[in-house]
Amino acid sequence: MSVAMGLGARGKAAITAWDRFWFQPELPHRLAALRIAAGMMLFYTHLVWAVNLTGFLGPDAWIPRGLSRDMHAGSWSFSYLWYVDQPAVLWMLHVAALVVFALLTLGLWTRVVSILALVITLSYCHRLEGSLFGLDQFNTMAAMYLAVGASGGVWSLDSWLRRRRGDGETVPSVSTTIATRLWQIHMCIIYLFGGIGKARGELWWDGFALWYAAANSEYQSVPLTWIIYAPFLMAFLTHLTVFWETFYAATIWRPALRFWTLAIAVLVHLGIAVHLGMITFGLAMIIGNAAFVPLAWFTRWDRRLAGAS
Amino acid sequence: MRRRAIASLLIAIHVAAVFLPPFTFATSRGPGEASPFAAPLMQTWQPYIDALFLNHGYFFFAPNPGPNHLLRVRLEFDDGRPPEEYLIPDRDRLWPRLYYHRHFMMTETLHGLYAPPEPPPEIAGDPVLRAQWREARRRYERMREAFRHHIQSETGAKRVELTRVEHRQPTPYEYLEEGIGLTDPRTYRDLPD
Repeated sequence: MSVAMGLGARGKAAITAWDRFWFQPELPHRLAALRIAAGMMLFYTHLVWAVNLTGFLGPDAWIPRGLSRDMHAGSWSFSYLWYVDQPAVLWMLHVAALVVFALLTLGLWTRVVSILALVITLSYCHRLEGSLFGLDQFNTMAAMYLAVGASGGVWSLDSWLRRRRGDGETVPSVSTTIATRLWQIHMCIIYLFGGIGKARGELWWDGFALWYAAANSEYQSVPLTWIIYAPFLMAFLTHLTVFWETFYAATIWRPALRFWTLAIAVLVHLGIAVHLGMITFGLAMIIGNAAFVPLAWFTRWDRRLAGAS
Repeated sequence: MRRRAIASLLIAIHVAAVFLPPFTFATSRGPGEASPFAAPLMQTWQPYIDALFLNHGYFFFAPNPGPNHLLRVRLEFDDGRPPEEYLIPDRDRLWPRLYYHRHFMMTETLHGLYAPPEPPPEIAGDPVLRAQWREARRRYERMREAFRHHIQSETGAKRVELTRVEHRQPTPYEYLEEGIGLTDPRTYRDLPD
């Protein structure tokens, strides 16, 4: 009887914890900060396609739309860019996409544009398969969760317009909690498998992986080859990367370890941005980690901004 | 309470969709050889995973940071211009860095699709594997031809020759003891078509 009661109590506690984790309404400040940062990243990422829009999406593209569709044959993916390759139409659609990302960043009509931003991001990713990398995985993740939560609740033109109408109260919402939690869990899964993947390679165990990343001239920007003259540091950073990634999903939830987990994340991704030439990807992952910065930090900033104005 | 139960179910479905692709990738020996636990679950979630672009392994620089795969382009013109030769990606020609990286990923994708022009001897007697090889080779040739056509349309060249090139990193010994730099010609090798 006592065993059954014990199990019942534990089950009840688990349900309460689940409820608190997913459904306790949260103020929108953290998600709004993510919206601004990720919105700028989405805007820039898509702006760069404009360097040679028809070269990537036009009739003589690197990967023409017919081939792109065939690469997705039998899959459930969708892209409206599979149905157009006329330059004038492409430019029109592309400018519209940039406007949507700009509106998302500014937080105007956020509810609608966040959903449009997701559709656009997915369409570009599915159409441009073959030229994608980690940055695009981040972009889709960010667009997906910004479409779930009330990211325009604060620090947005929407909230400014609401205040002008006399309805300026910022209210917590469950959708913001769900979006933030999904974002956080997604980050944990990325790092977990990043760590597991590295743990399968001998270079990540013998301490030389960092050399082979640094000595990669196609990635290199600010040289890091000097690291070979500091083998102790090189091996330490190699091992640290594996352990930090693998255990991120555990350490990030512990308040005592969160600061250090985030600090390493910032250093690792700044290193990727500065030394491996992937500035956008490095910054994107730092933005991704901002989902773990405590909400109180963002609300404190909000009070400061309000005080200053 | 009922709304929360439905929301909880949707959350669980979504988290599973984020987890399953890298899990399937990590537990696979090769294409189509995922663990018997992962494979059916992946199949069930596949439509959702496809639609939301979630099919990733997240094996960044893993299992080991390996060599890069580039494309050497040789252009011949019929208007009197001398032949041109360059590598893709080329930082001097492709800016900003993200634009450069897009081209880099395409040459890596072409390499990833490579299948030899003749079936490997070990699959000669297996009709299923031979059909898979034929399809893989067709996909590779189709993408290579698309690249060739694109370069031709952008440059106006009469003839475009593409060669896959592997560029490896020098080992610490080569770098320290033999003075082999990151772009030493010995670190490049042409790959078969």
